[in-house]
Amino acid sequence: MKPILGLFGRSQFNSGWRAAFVALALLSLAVSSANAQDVQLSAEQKQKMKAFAANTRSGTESQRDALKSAREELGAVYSSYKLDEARASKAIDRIGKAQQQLLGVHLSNQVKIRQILTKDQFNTFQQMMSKKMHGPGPERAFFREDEAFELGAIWRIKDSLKLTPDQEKRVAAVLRPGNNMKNMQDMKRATEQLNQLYSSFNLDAAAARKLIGDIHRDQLALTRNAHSRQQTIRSILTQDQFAALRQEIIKRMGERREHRRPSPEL
Amino acid sequence: MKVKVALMKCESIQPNLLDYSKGLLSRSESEEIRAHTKKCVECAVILEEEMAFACKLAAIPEEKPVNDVWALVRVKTKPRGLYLGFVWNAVGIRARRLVAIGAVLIAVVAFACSFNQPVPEPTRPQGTLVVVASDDPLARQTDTMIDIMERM
Ligand SMILES: [Zn+2]
Repeated sequence: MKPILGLFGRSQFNSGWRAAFVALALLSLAVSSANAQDVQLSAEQKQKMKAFAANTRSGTESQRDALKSAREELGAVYSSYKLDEARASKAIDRIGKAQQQLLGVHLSNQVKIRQILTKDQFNTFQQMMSKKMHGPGPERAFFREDEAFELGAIWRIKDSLKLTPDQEKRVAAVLRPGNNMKNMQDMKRATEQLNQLYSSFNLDAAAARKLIGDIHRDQLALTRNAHSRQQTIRSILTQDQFAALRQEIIKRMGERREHRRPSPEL
Repeated sequence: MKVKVALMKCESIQPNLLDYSKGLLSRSESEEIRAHTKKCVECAVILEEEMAFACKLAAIPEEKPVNDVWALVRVKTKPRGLYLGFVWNAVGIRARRLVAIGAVLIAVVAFACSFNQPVPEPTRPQGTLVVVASDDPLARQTDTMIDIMERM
């Protein structure tokens, strides 16, 4: 504040100006606290929400870490031509458990928040959620990312792999768009229904658990399909072709990492 | 066996797949690409790659703008471009005081308004595609919920 006051000096800052200044400052503070937050919480509720948020964050992060490390483990299994089925199966189990835990975290959040907030507060919270989530109407696409680079690599080098016509036909069948379509669509539908349930204060927990079960069944099916595709690819390609494919994937991932930068709109 | 369909089209489709995966194309362009990728393995595979990339980008945490009142003060008071010093010198001491106090009040109001208010959300451009990883389909809901609770 010093440089600004220095413009006119202390003695020139007369009491009239000071009074006007203080009045306006108080007025602006009053205005700001009126629109400070949309859900008015008691001190106790505020404290509970903070603790709840911290708890959820750490729980979610630890499950996401577990999921990531299991995905990496499975990726390592899939990097060699000879599949270690026992190791793959362990990683697939870990993935399934972490997926299920993450769905469960969200359900217990929904139960817990209804124990902290009143119905009116919950409805306001829900409005804030949907404003943030559905902002300027993004379209949602459900998607499995872990195989995409691999599938892309097969197409990119399919000429240099010198596939026989029979191999090409079988590879095309593995890559056919829509192989996972039904599971994806089912999962999208169940997730939307689940969100619908979560938007109402009177939560039907049994129905929510059923939908979570449906979503998780689709998740398991997707992981299983991916595994059987890995088996099929090995039954189509020779070991040398597979090695060339791995090289292309590593090269492609490296290129992608170099180009990776957060884009402003994401 | 001919795997590719509409071979001629792939060259015009593929350069647009990144924009399509971010939902930045017009409705008619999007529909054309959607229909094509349903039939063409190659473009569908490249699209999946672009979406995987978008998914990874979306996982990078957004940088939150700092709630810095002095940055606001600087923006409100800093003269930009045109030098107006001669105007400042020409006006009397009372007018200068008025301007200075006005600036202080703007700063105070800006400070008060930024005090308790949540940081404005970065808005997504219209039509942006949100890619949802099937491993954690409720990730966005969970994160949004935590985010709102932390700001309360
Ligand atoms: Zn095509």
